[in-house]
Amino acid sequence: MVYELEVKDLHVSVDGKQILKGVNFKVKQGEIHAIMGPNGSGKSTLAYTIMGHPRYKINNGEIILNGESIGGLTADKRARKGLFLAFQYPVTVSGVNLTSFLRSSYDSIHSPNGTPGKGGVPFIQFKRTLDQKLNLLQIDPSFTSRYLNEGFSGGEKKKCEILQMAMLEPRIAVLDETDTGLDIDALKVVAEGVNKLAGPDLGVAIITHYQRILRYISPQFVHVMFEGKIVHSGGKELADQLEEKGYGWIKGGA
Amino acid sequence: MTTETKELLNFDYSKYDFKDSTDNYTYKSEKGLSSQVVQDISRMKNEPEWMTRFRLKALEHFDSRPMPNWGGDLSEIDFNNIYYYMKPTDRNSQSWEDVPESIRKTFDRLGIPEAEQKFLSGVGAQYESEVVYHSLLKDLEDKGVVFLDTDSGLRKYPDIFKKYFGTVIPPNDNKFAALNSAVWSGGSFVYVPPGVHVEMPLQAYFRINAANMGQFERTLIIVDEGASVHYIEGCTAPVYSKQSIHSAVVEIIAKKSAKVRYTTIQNWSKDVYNLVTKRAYAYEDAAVEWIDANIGSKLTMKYPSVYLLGPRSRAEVISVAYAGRGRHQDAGAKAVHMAPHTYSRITSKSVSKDGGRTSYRGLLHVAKGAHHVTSHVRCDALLLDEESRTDTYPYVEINDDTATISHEATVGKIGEDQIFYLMSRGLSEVEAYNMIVMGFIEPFTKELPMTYAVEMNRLMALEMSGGVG
Amino acid sequence: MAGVSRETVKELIKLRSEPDWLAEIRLKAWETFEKTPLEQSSMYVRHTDLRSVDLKTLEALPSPRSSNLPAELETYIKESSESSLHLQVDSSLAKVSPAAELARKKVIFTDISTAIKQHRDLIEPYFRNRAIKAEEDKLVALNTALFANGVFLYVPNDVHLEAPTRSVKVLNKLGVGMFNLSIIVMGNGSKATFVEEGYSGDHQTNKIQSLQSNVLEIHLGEGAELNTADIQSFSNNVVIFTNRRALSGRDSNLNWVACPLGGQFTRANTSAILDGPGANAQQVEVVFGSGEQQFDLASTLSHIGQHTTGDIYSTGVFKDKSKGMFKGMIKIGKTGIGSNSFLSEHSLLLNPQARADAIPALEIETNDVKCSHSASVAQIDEEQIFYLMTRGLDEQTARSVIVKGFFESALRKVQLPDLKERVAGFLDEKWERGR
Repeated sequence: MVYELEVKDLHVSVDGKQILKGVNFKVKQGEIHAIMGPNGSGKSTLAYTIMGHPRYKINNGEIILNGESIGGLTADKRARKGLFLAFQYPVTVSGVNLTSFLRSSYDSIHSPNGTPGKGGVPFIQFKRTLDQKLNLLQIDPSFTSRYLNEGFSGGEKKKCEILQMAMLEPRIAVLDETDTGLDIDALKVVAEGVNKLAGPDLGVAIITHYQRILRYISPQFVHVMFEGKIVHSGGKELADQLEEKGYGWIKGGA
Repeated sequence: MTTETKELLNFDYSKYDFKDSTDNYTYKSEKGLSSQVVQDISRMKNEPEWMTRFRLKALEHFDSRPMPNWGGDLSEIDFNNIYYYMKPTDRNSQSWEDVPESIRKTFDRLGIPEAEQKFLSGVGAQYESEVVYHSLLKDLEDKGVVFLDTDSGLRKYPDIFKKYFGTVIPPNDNKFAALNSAVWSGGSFVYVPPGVHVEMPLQAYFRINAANMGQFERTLIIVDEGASVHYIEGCTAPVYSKQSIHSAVVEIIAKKSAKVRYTTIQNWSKDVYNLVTKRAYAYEDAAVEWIDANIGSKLTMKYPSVYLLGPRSRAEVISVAYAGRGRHQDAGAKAVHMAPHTYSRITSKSVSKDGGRTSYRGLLHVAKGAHHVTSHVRCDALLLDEESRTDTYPYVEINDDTATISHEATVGKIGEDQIFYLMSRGLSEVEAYNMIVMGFIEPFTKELPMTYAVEMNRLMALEMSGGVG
Repeated sequence: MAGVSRETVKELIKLRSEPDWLAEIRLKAWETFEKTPLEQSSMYVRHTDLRSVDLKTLEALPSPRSSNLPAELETYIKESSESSLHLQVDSSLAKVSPAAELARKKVIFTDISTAIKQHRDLIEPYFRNRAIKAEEDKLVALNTALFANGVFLYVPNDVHLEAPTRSVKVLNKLGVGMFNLSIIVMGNGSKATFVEEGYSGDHQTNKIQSLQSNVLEIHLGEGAELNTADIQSFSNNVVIFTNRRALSGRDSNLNWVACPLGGQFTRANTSAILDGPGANAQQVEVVFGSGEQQFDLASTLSHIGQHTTGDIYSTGVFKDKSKGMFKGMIKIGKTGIGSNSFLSEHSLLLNPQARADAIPALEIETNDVKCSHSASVAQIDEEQIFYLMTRGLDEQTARSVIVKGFFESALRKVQLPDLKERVAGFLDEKWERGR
């Protein structure tokens, strides 16, 4: 079965303010989409809403994963259904070391006996997977003994997000402004990581303000968001057009 | 936080909530405090006269001192409705087989004999007023290490006992130290000879079983030059809806270059007033560490102290307090710098929930002439809901201009974004809360021996997944 | 008549021919004074020491004759025609000169005795329901019984005062007790600046104590804004007791600056009760102690309203045998949801015999808040001195640069540039004077 995430006529408000005004969007396993748009167009709202942040209220429309409406599920249940969100600003949790965290997280998603978080996955299996992913992404193992995002540089935080994505093996991943705050080297590392993980089992939606990450990750589909709606959809050429003309162009074209 | 999450986050004290009959006790004092009760205790213990006099003098101090008007609410304590002395058995055994069955079962349920086999150098177990079991590894005994209950310590080592007893915490130090000095019974007496390192911890376990019981153990630890020891105590009691008092005195003497670590995991039931005085003297180059967790009790007032008396001595206090409904943890630490180049670090973490109250009360004192002192104090409080309360009362007194002192405190709640982040990685809301709380107290748990850290996490959060530690 | 007693209070009432309602308040306050312990907070009992204060020889009643203004102080006090001035020399009122804009804007700026006589309807409610009750503090009780001077400032709704109002106190005689009560009422949406200053004539070396007892009460209406400062450089034989409290209405803004430089012993208790939602208070305390000066400074922020914000920045430099005590307290009550509060107490000790205590306390009763504090005590870093010396400064200059930098960390919080400059000027002067 090919997983498909569908966002249907999504209207979302935050603290009483309407942000999304009817977004329609689909992503399947194996596809790479880019969602672009100027600041304030609602890109991050879309990401948070897909993952189920409680502050984002769905006023209308649906989020559907394989025919099932998931709009009412809490974030953990969505994660267990194979959704992943790489945060623009990953949150720090002091005192929790990355390995322990990944273990709990891995366990809750891959637990064979259906009771997540109870140590259903043997430690050795977890460790083997972790080593393998670290190796794949060329991340120094000492990284995992640090506290979750505490004292991480911008690049390290994003690498940590990609590592989590690798471990949790989602079917659909939303990458929210993964390129912000990264210098070009860090950006390359992160993009390489995404490329390594991409494949027939993973659908990716990259949310970005800038075009530059798309030099390293090639989307098949590009969407442009403006004032809470997707106003253009097309192939990679759309990104090039944006690069050339800037966001001013869509205002006229919308 | 959903209601369901809130309930799941409640701590389970029930593991410790079982009671044994008190019918077969060898001796039960009358309720209430009088010089007769004090003399009876002393006579029954066959004590030397100086100790009887010491007790009676302390009783005078206790009677003449007002109740503290700070800290927690002590107004409900009825000193006349307390049993000051209960002797469950005549025996103080060195083998668990010899411990009366009902008492042995208690300690079995608490996992003490099992832990002893695995990773302890010695164990003492106190039940009500008396120590019922005591043992020490043979090779440590051969090296001259003494680990006895305090009553036996007085009998077997009268000279060293008299030299140090009551010197660190004199009976007139405070009202509850006076009370303890008058009616003390049990506790541990530890002596580590020069240069001896006790590799595995010594553990003492204190259990109150009866209602309206007062437990007043007294611990004296002397670590001679260049020696080291780690002492762990645990405390539990079943739930009654009648008050009990636990008022201990712990005195530590760390001689030149000695190292002492004293770890407490206090999990008294919600009826227990836990009013404890703990103090250590640290001489030249000595290091004293208090690792202190207060999870249970109705009210705890406890401020482990280190008097840094010798140059380059060091003090570390790491404490964690958890206050659930109806509980008040008024805990903290004191570092009194009396000598140059001394160092102290105090880290306090507190969590309040369901209207519970945590208070940090601390003193950092640098005496005149104690030059080049360094001290860092950090207090962080986490409030899990809007009903709960936290206070911070740090006293910083600096009498020397070469001191470098910093103090920081924060109060906060668990952020919605933190919860969402963890939930987006598949953790349930309960797991997410637990993980954040565990992370918050991690500076404490990482100091515990593995088994205790696991136990601590279990105590703090029942729904934790197996992987976190 | 020397010293203070119930008779002194009665005499004052007679001298001023005060109305019965006020006489009653005074005599009751005297009773309270007599029966109240000096320190009522169990938190601070061990940190309160008034042994150096002796009231027995004080001349507490206002003198009928006004004293002359010492010539050497004239530069400080020189009036600018725009600002309003209330000037007291010793215990007598020397002058009240409101700026021109005040009459136009219907602002009342007068001494407290005149206000009692001429604006009874306005002022009486504030006496009936004091911002600081006499029962709360023995020293407030004493002040209530004996206050003879002070300012009443009343700014109607939506009135903005351009120029600052000043209350200047000059001590010229020895053994004088000055008891001042000032009340400031800021109408909704009003805006003003109120600066208190205190100076002594030059009798530095005389051991005869004088007393300054000051109570300042501030009532801030909705959206009102007040900048207020208290700068004093009395000579080192003056004991200063100060109690200040603001009751802050919704969305009001209060900035206060305290810069006690002189005096032998200063005990100041400052509190802002942030009652109205969105109220803000910022307090900056800058202390510079020398000789055997003692400073006992308590500051409290009490967050009652939702989304109230507050900061306390206390900074002290202590040299010689001086001693400073910072008692800070942030309280966030059950209703103070969304409040944000910060307390900092930082001291620099310049001599082995100087000392500093800090008690930065928090009492937090609800969880949706941001609250933190930091405190430190340190000395000048020798590495810093070395670094500056390698850049060509001599050691003395290097020390001075570092100390000024230390003060600057607090001074940059002072909102009014003029005020900041003046405080910095006084600090400089004290540093140069070397005492």
